Amino acid sequence: MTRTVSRAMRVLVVEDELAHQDLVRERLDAYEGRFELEFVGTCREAVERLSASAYDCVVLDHNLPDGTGAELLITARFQLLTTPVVSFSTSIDPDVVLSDFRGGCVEFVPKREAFRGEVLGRAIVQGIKRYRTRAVVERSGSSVELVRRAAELIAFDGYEDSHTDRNIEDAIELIYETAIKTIKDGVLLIERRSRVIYANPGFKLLLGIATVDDLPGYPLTTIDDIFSAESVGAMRESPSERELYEGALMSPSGREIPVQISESPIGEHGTLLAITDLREIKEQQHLLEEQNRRLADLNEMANRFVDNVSHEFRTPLAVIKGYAEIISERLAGPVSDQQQEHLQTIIDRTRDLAQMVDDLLDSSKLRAKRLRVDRRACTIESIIDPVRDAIEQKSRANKITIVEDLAAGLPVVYADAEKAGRVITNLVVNAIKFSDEGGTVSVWARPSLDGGIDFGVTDTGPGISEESLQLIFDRFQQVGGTQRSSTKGFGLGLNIASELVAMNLGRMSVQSEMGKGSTFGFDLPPADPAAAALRLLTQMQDRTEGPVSIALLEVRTRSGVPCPDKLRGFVASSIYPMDLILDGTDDAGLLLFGLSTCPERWGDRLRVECDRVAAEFETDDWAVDVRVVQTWAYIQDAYLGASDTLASRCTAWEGGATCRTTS
Amino acid sequence: MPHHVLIVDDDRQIARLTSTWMKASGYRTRVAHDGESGLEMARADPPDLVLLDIRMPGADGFEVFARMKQTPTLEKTRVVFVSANAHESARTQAAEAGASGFISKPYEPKELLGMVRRVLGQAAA
Repeated sequence: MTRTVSRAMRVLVVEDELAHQDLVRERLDAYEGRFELEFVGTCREAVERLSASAYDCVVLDHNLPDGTGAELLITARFQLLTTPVVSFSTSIDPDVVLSDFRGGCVEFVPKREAFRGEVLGRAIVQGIKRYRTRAVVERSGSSVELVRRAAELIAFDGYEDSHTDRNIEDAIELIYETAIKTIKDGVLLIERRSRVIYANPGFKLLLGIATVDDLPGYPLTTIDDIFSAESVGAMRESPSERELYEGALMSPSGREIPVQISESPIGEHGTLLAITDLREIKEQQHLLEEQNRRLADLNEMANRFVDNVSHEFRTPLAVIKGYAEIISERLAGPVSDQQQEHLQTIIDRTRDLAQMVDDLLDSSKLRAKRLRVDRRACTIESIIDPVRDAIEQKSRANKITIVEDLAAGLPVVYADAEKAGRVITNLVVNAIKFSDEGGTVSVWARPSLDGGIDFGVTDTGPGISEESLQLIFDRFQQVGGTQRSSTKGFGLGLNIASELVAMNLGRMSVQSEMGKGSTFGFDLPPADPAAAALRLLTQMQDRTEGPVSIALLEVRTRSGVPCPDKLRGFVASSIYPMDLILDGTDDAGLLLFGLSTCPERWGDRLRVECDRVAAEFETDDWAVDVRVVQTWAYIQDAYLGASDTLASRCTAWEGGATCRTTS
Repeated sequence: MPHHVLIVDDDRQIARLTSTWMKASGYRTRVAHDGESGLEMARADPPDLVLLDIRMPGADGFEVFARMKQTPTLEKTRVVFVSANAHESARTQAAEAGASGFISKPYEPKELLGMVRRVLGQAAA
């Protein structure tokens, strides 16, 4: 193929000052016919010329009688689409330079430089080269075309007659040669899906052979000699069916090398195979799996350890406390007042110790996400009544007065009552720790603005400093040395409280003033599916990063029988602790609402698990169909849409619908 | 006639402790220190209530309970599991097995007596 490329570059010079035109001519004439110059003095003329004819380059003065260079770049942007512009100006004001570059010029030369030596000539050649390079990279098209254009650029230097067909062909050859020789992947050319007719150095490396003579079966090597039987089978299938697949190479020593094979037909009988080594990836994958397994084992071990520790601690504590109580109750004979007082100390401190063991246990379960949540509609009494005793005992032991202030007619809330009670206990215990003997701690509850309940525990302790407030909900965090040394714990209480509040879809708050006391508060949502959903969404937004989606799934038994309670429990146990389980508008269906990047897979997994149990128990009751009702992209707007849909799909609470989750 | 309570716990001190509280509250108590002998004593003289420890060498609480349920003479006997394992799975397992109650150690005497009274009250009703 022959191409004439050593013609002169056609350059349009847009310059109004005749003296400068002469200087440009003088500079570029030094290249002896390399440049063919045309001059215009105004923007208008420049646009006319550019519309009428094609140039290899435009040299543009910034200040022209009818506008600036930057303006011309904009006016003539369509005519200049395929032409590089070199801008030059007496001014080197950065704003001027920037405006020209923004307009699309590829080179800028200050005028006083431009008229010196080869500066302008070089700028034009560089400009053209840079512009064409950009064009090659940005253009889409066949690789052959792109490589040819790249080769042209490599061969082109603008000064000498080196820009010949020979040079271009050499460059093309060099590009392909280097690519195929240095690439780490193996490249094989096979004929009629059988005989190997070419293998690159990368392939030799992959197979672990030094020379081509070591190739099994050489010189009549076929794919059967070097690939596993399975890979050969895949290769002999129609190439349109399998273009990229995993297979294995057989090394001369008989080792299997996992590879990825990419097939491309070449002509009627040829196939090009690009083969990527997967050993490292597989190895990493294996290591990762191994690591995950080890972590899971460790996690399980840690959990078992905590369970055992808790058991081993609790039993002796039970004995100590129990016998102290028997003596204290005078079941073992008379006890003096002083002995009675000492016994009470033993009992109280043993109780504290038992509480700490509970905290450790809870904390580790929270971290392992193994704490069950059973959220349902519940009253203030079901939350407070079970913990009143423990609070009284604790306050009596520390000589603190507890004031209970519960507003009348508090609404029913949606919560795990036991967890909410634990939070109140923890907050009160914490308040007592920081109060002096004779102090007062008040426990209060009032209706919240969104129809739920606001709880609070207020003490008259020393208060918490601004910096400490940031840390108090962290695990093992203890603030200052202000609490009485006799009441120190592990610093887990508030951390557990805040985790439990989050599990109850509530929000924790703290207000404190040094020297005056602190108020720890939390709220619980009203017993309404839409409100619960809204809380869940808010919490997700606070805790989640990156794009995710929210999904509403409907679970229905295939037999049409109402969802058995045990099935419900099973479904609940297989979902993420924070996901909501809601009863639908009829008996047969359950609604699952939660965070899922792939709701379809969530549904499939659930259905498969239920099918497995159904098969195990030989019952149709457990076989379910799962349908993705709706998904929402995780954006602010999803809030209303999601909670509205939930509201419309759940019967009112008064109607007996339940709304609970378990892990 | 006082209610008859059988305490099965491999920890002798705990068993004695529980027994002391129960006696002080007017119950007739007997004590067994492993599952097998507990089962034997229950079969020989069916109690109104068994306070059954879960973690014991040999037959554990759940196994003892399962075998009790297969004994017709123990049909009316109620079972409350007492365990130092506050783990929720134990509590759930106890409930699923059909126990009348679950209490974790160390318990408040008031709590234990309250639960026993409640369970036996139901039994009487």
